[in-house]
Amino acid sequence: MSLRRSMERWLVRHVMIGMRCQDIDPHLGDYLDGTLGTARRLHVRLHLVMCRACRQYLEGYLRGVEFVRGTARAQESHPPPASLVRRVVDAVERNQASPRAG
Amino acid sequence: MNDNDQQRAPFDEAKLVAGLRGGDPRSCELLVRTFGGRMYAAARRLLQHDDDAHDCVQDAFLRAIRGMERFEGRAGIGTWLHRIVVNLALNRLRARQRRSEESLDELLPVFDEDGFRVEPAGAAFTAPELALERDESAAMLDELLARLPDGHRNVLLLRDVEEYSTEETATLLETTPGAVRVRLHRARAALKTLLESALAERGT
Repeated sequence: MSLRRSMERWLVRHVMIGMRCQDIDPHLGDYLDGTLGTARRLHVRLHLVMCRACRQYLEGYLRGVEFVRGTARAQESHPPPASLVRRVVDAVERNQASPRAG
Repeated sequence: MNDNDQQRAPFDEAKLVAGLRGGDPRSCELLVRTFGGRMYAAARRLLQHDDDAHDCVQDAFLRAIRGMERFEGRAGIGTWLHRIVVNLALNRLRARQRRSEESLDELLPVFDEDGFRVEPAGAAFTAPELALERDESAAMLDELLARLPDGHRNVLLLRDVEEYSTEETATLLETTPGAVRVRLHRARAALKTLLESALAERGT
């Protein structure tokens, strides 16, 4: 274990009690979304300053969220399948000709 | 969602709505061509099935056009349509025979006995590695979403893609905001693991 990691562990064990990675992890999503209360946000921020593993983890977590968002946006920019357009327009026409159908 | 509405609305919305209320087939086609792509993508992601997504989008348009008199224009028409298709897709999911939810535990972070994060070797990926071809990204997203249990996938999609608030998502899924927050975090964590593993397999 590196000296830096050993120091991080010492700090978390003896100074920042209750701020182990495992204590912080459940709050990372709310931290990113900006929905944590002030005290908890400060706890998470302090832990992240001290803990490289959690900082790296959070970067990957955020990239995952961005991947999902970005890819989904790209999918949405596709036009609807032509067969779907025809099908909906036909169904609407049938429905208008016979309002009880559909 | 409102931003998307504006990006997708190079037409006069009031005129379109008037055309739809008057039963104009060209207005109907314009509506489907303009908003159908996004609605189809959302339905397909939620339902994980092409045919179901087609049925769901058709149903959404039929309901929207039948209910056009009730459209008040407070939100853009795209936002209104989107809400309809998401609701219909969630109803379809509820009606499906429920499968038992698979456990996500093996995809969640690991901690040692002292509560410190165990860093998986070579798991982190960097931004350039995510520069996949568009079709490749879409296929990868489909694969990753398919591996999440329904309950987690739905929360992830509604919060991170459809951008509903925690409270709106809880209402749509008939659960509590607390449950949404927990599931969202677990779904994101699982997706991170799955994505890193997919990228490692792909050799990036």
